[in-house]
Amino acid sequence: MKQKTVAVVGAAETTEMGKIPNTSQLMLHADAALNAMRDAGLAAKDIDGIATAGDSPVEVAHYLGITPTWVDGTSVGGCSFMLHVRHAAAAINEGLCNTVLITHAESGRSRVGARRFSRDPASQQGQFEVPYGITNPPTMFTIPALRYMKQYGVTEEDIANVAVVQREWAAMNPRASFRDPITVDDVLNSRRTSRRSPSTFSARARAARRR
Amino acid sequence: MAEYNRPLPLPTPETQHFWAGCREGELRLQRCTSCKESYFPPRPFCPACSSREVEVYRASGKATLYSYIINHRPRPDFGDKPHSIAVVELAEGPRMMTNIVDCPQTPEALVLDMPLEVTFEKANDEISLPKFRPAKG
Repeated sequence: MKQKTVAVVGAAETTEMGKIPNTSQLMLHADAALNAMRDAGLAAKDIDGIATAGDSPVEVAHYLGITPTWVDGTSVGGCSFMLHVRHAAAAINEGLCNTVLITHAESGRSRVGARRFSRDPASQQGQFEVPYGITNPPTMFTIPALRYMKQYGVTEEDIANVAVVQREWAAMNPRASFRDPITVDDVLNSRRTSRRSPSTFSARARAARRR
Repeated sequence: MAEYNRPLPLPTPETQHFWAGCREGELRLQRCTSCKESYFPPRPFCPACSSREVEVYRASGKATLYSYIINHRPRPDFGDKPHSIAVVELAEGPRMMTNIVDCPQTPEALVLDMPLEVTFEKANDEISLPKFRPAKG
């Protein structure tokens, strides 16, 4: 990739963070986008490229009043938006567009205007995985973890420490939802009380126990 | 049984032979006739060498427990008790997702690399799901 030809000229989050039950998922895209556009000193008419995943980039473009000449809907999970940055840089370098807006929005807790997860029963996952009960990260990301622990001699405490360190980083971010420090013991004990809050990690720790 | 409010597969032309096998109580795999690689899920070509010359054969039904999770999150269609979701490694090589059945759903009963054998759970006249249980003897 050509160096020093493309720059990030604005970046922002939604105005509110955490639970936002009074805003649809599409408006979360727009809210973050408007904040980023203000950060860059740009308006919709200045933007000629758009990328998002999960929702349609066409819908986000229409909603914001953007008429793109370049569009990217690459959707490969949580890393999609990092790929969008690479694709956007390549597109700008190639002269396909000049200014790209990349948005991500998820009404993950409030589920306002959020798309439902559904899997076609004729898809590969629908035929060969979903019938056995996988639904979301706690039942999907955890299965390789147990094998990994056996193969590499990783302990439950080692993995619990990942959450502890993540929380240390979160404590430095004033917009993080959870900032209070936690210990390895907190994480390991959470599984015994966590029917009401089974985080991905507590499910992973639970898997880890089964060695 | 209430349990078959669960999601079920919808076979496609490329997977019909597999689901027909399950219905008849046999686990069918495919194998490349040029590079001899066995593979799963079913498709009419070899994912190892891209050859279209492949054959269907009856697998042994033997496997070992590769990894798993015991799900404690609510899944009313799977009953009210924690249940296993597993990946097994078939004796022929490929891995597949399944549930481990006919044994306690506990870490003590489910030990990685334990020997397993296939069993078929009938959901309806079209679909039986391949599941695995601890090998007998």
